[in-house]
Amino acid sequence: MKTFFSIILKNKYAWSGLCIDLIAFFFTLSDKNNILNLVYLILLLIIMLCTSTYLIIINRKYFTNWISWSIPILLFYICNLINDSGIIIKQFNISLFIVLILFNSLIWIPVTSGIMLWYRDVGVKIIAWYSAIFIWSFVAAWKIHGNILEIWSSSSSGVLWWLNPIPFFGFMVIPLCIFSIIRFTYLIISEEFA
Amino acid sequence: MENKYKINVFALPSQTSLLLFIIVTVIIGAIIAGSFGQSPILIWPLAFGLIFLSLRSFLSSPDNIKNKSIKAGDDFLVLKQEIIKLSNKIKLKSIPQLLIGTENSDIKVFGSFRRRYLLIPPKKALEWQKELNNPDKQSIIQASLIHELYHIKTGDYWKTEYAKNLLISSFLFMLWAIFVLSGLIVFLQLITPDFIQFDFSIIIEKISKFSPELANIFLNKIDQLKKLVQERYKTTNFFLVLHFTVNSLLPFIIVGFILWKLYLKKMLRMRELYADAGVVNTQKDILPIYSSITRIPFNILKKYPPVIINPKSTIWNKLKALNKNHPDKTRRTNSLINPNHIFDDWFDMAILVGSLVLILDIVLLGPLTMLYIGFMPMHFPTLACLIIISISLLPYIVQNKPIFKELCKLLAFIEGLRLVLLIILIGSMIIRLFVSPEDLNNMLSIAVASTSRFAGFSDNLGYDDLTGFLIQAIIFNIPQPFIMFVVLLMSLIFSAFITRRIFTWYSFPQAEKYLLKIVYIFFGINFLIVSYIMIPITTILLQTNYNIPMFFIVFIITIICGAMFVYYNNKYACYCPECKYKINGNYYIGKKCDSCDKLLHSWLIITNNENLDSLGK
Repeated sequence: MKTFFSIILKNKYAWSGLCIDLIAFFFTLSDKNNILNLVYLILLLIIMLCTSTYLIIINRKYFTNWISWSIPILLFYICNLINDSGIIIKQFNISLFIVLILFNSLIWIPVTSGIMLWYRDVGVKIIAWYSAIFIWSFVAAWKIHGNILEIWSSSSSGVLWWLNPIPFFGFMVIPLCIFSIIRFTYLIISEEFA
Repeated sequence: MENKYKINVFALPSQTSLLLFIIVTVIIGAIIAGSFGQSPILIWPLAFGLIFLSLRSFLSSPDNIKNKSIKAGDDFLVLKQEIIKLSNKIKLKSIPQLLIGTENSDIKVFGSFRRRYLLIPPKKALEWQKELNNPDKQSIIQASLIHELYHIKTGDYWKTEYAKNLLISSFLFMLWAIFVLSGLIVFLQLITPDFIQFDFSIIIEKISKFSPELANIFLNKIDQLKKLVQERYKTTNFFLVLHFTVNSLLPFIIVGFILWKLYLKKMLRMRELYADAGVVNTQKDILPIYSSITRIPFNILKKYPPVIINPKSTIWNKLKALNKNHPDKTRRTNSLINPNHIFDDWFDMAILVGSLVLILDIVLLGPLTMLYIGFMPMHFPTLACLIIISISLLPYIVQNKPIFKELCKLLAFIEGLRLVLLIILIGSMIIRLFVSPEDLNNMLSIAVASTSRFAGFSDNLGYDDLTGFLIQAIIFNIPQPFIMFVVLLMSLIFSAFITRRIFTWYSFPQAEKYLLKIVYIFFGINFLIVSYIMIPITTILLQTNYNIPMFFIVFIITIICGAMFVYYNNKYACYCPECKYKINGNYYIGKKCDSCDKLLHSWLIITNNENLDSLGK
């Protein structure tokens, strides 16, 4: 608890900006045709993205464990699930918030993965687990739903809400893993010959 | 009564090096061998992956411990200086860095090829630093330090670490490979028909809105790809591909487990015994290290010298001991008094060599290496047995111990194990023949396809006459353990005889440098004789094709080497290097010239002092 409060006090301006930003979202109007409303939303999105990313980077030592790393992934997955599965949320602001988190997690995932992969030599593990989950997810998807190519090229891709995030995750994280493996291999060899 | 002259274990082949060689050859050798030639899946990326990951894991392993400890500062200057002094005494090429661990750390040496660290918990480090000035405790602390430093001198610290990382990497990597590759094969089998039938016009339409040229290129490529995929799909039996994948990679997991349980743990035990022997060699006294191991005070040991303890050990206790990472205290103390106890008795050797034969049978009869073994798959394990046992007999030979009975028991165990395996395999096939011949035919067809790396469709894989095949299998395989027993017994007795003769070449120039190398060359010749002459002759009724050119080449090599042996034997055998007096009989540790009392082959003996002399009497 003490650590949590000290983190907040250390970066009080960033935290304040984030909180005000989140509160401001709940005052957004549901009028989609209003240009000013759109500009207002984009501005809030950018502020949220910048402040949250800044906070992650500044407090990066807390993002070198598996739990912290998996939080943005879970958020992405849950928000994508709500978005793709056709669940209808009547409150506009809440559904907007979910989309917001979804967009932000597209940045949070590579940032937290980058931090994790910079400080810990876990690139091989992530690639190993990801490839196993990837291939068997696609096998399961094909077995359950049939030709995925047809589903993806039609308008009913929401049926694959549980599968769609997986390739996205791969595009975001696998290149970072490869870079991390190369970097740590270089460090290991340099240490050996130092 | 024990011989007062003690064998210098470092003059003979290192058991830890031999064990590492076996582990590395079985795992990496098999995967590299399987990378050549056509196969339903690419094996060479797996070989590369395994070598890369195991090496990488090994090189980074010191950081796991190093990051949890701190470099010893100036508080431990006295201890650091002592380590430098002792390292110079035992002629270490580089001095390890002293690290202070946590309270729960063990005292250990760790590192990689070029990095070496000595880890000591803080309390122990302070205690040792203080006690180094105490003359009563100084030699005991020095013994503990030399023990650790000897792990660096012999290289055992990196050999065991690399073996451990190789086995872990092999297990995890092959498990992952089986899981992912089988997923990929199942996936390809599922998607291929859908892919061939899929109408890409929707996608092409979308692309043509941006770029009609790109859409055209895409259309052509898709058509070409569909044709190729269709052709491959018609001729690929996905079940056989899956079977090949699992059959090729599963042996690594099974064999890795056996190597871990029997070989790695043995390496860990042997390295402690070698390090203890190193302390004795350096201090010329066993009491400090004995006191360190047993916690018996030094002055009591001086008053009551230690003796060999011969505990009654049941087979069950011996099997339990195989699972330990450290040798038990009794073996350690007995090995200090008499280094002969470092070497295995026939039972331990039988477990080691017998399991190696089993491992090789599992690995070599798999799809990766079967093509290399060819018609007589029992030969390779037999030859591996020959080399391992020849090397393992050296300590017995230099002590002029009789080996015939032990050899018979050892070989009976090894070939008995193979016979039991064969009976189980052939027996299960016979049962299947009566219960479900179609299943047996199917099973054999898949096995043939797998080992010949075939993953298509063919009517020629099956057997028209299953009974005839099984009778042939029985005639072919069941006599082989008996034949190999005779072949091994004869060749090992011959090997022992020649080795004993070579050890009587007392006046051979620079014997300490070259004599063992001559023994190894002889082992190599013996290997060729057994491979290309003895085995073909003894299995002449079972096999119809053998390598005639090699038979003659090896025969000629044997004649030449035989002539050289006779020449050197006449020139150097049984003559004292000092006075040229004729010395009769086989060599044994501590043998002296009857005329000038010169100690023969002193390089095989630890130089004694009083404490060592008085032991065992």
